[in-house]
Amino acid sequence: MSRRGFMSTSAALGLALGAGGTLLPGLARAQSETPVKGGKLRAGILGATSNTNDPALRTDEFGVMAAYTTFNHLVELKADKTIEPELAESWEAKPGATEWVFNLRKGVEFHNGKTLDANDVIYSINRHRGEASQSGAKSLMAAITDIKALDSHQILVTLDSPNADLPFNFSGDHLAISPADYEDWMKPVGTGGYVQTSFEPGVRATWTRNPNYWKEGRAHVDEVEFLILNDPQARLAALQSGQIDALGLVDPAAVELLRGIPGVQVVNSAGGQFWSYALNCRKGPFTDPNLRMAMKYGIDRQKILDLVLRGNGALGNDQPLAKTDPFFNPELAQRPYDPDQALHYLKKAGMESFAIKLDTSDATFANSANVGQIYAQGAKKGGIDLEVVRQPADGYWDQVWLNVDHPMTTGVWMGRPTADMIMSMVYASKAPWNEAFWGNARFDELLTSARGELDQAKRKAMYWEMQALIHEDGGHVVPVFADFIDAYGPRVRGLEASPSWYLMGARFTERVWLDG
Amino acid sequence: MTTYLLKRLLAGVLLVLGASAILFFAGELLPGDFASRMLGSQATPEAVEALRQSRGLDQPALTRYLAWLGGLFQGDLGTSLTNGREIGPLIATRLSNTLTLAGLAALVAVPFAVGLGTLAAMYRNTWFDRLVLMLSMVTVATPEFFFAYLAIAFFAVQLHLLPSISIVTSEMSLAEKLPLLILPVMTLVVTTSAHMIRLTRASLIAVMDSEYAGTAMLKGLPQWKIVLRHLLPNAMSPIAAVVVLNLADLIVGLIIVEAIFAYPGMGQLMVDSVAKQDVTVVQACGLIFAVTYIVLNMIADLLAILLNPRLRYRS
Repeated sequence: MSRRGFMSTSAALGLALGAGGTLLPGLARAQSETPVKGGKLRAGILGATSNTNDPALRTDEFGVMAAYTTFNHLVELKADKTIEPELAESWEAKPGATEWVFNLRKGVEFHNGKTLDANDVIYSINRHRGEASQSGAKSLMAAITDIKALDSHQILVTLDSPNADLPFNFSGDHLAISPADYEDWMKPVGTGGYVQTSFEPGVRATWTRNPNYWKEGRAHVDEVEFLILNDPQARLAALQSGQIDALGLVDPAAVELLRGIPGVQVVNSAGGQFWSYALNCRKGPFTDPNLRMAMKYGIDRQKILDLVLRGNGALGNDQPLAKTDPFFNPELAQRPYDPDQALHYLKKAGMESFAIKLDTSDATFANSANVGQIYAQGAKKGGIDLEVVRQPADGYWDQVWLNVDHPMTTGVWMGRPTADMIMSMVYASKAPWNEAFWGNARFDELLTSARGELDQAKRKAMYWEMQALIHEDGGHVVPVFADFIDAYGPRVRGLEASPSWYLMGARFTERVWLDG
Repeated sequence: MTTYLLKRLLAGVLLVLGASAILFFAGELLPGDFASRMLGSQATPEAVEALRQSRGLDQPALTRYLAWLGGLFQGDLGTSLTNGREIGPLIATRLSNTLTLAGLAALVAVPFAVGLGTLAAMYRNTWFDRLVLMLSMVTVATPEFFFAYLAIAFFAVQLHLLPSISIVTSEMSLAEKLPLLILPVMTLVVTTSAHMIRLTRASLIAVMDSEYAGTAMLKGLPQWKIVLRHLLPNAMSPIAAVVVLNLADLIVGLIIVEAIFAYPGMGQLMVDSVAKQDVTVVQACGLIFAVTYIVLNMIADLLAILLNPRLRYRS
């Protein structure tokens, strides 16, 4: 079995691996243990004084991790990328998938004693809708034309166009459910496993266990503490000295070091996080598909995976779906690094050699300029002269990226719960973050029909064709998928991998327990 | 004397005003924008515009500067761009944390440095003096983050003796805070003392060769008495100046140490806010740092006058 196959299989099984592929003793034990209650779980979290508990305006790792600690959502995203009921007990699409009925769980209490009903859910969703909304989930909720209560525990959501994936949209961190008209975000109230007891933005936040938590077998610890740690060395030192028990967003360069420390448990999760090089298909040289092809053959993906990610990831194949996605198309052959093919496509474009500027920035991913240099070295053999420009992190997203005057930019995508979300966000010709300015009529047509299709077999065929279209014609070079890497202290049990985000898809506070 | 004081005061006020203008308009020049930074991958143009408007950024820069200046005179530092909260109370806690840390560091560093400098001067050209000189040279040349990481690696990671993270909260008592403060204070003492040690030594040596020092020695006074009664008071003026300036450096230069130990002070607040492009908070922090520097500079000048009769009577 290849290393890559091994890594992704192990992630799918929910196991964590040591450097040599051996199970860490702590984790082997965790498999057979039953959860115990008690203790204080301390995590090092990225954050800032701008952090808030407001579901509409939350930012940073803090915002996401706190969302799943204080609040519940209508549905819960599982490690296999399917969803299961959370505050919604069941749901059903009316034929055509433009109207959805959600049945809410009964007898759920908020931290302030109020009982959950339809008004709370409608209020929580409406905060992200409408002209004046400043919510990060505004575009995600834009397709909703109406929400109304059918009775005290049933709501009807009406969309402007069919969407078979609608329930997935309600699993995101913004869509946390708070009581109707609640606005005191310094003291958030939710239905989640923990009640927030203190909040000092950019410094610290603490929670105690919610004694009335409705969910069985979840939220095991007595207290949760988030310490806001942003300095990379300070984060690692805090874990090593035992001041924290959990740490997400571990730099691949630090993984070997952490694996060598007795007691530290490292969990790799293969998932949808990928890096991208966007080739501008609207203006400049990359309007010629041959040059796009040359760029796709000129990149040495394996070298990037080995040298920069140190094996903590998977090769990209110039399309956005990872192997963990249910609609991943395994029939697309992995595009190799082939300088001769790159030369061949340059000739087809009528060129002997080709020079282009690549904009990179630390705002995207760590070491992005070095990754660009690896790309440039490999591309040289294919007749491509890639000049790597390191843009300042300040202003990169506003001024360089998504700017039609830049022929080639660097990006990073966290992956999304569904194929439709990432494709609608980045690849549809009118997508808000179509960083390659790619437009393809057939693709747009497929995207709309696949979104409204309730028949899974038909949908699969459509998503496979869409991946092939992006892979062949698209303006994206996807070098690698980067694993989500987390590290835990020796006391933490119940660890599992999750393809959706760091620290068990941000749900670690309600899933782990502490040993002794 | 009074006119001199008034002149210094006026110059100070003008300097603060100048600093405020530079801070404000430099903030305007920064590339990028807090709203798109804050909304991140969810920053659609409409969401960005809605957020910018809600923070009053659609007004012209000059209008906003004058409003900010007007607010400052009433003690209002404005509101944060990213979370809309008032900056005043936010900075109050952070400033008191920074002053606690800087104060503790000064409390240890000043007697330590002046004492060591005096000893080095008294035992000039012995192995002790050379050791002190060499070590101070090394600490001056090494950046403080290096010492901070070294201290963390040794005391926290290897020995598990002290915490590597110094997150203090308002509910903690001083006794609870102290162990958290040991490593940052240690780092600061090591990195700020060197300058003071060297200047104390140099100033003392300069007066040691004077005739009155020779006379005192011929009178048969013991050396410690000569140093304490005759030499230190005369060398005090430059020493006081360098001590006060180092205090200013200490407060303004805490940024790196605070970031490494995650200590919730002004420096960390500023780093945070720069990263989030929360310009109003950066401006407020910058202004407080500027005022601190200007005031401590004035104090250094005043001390120089008070300690030196020649300066005192000339004006």
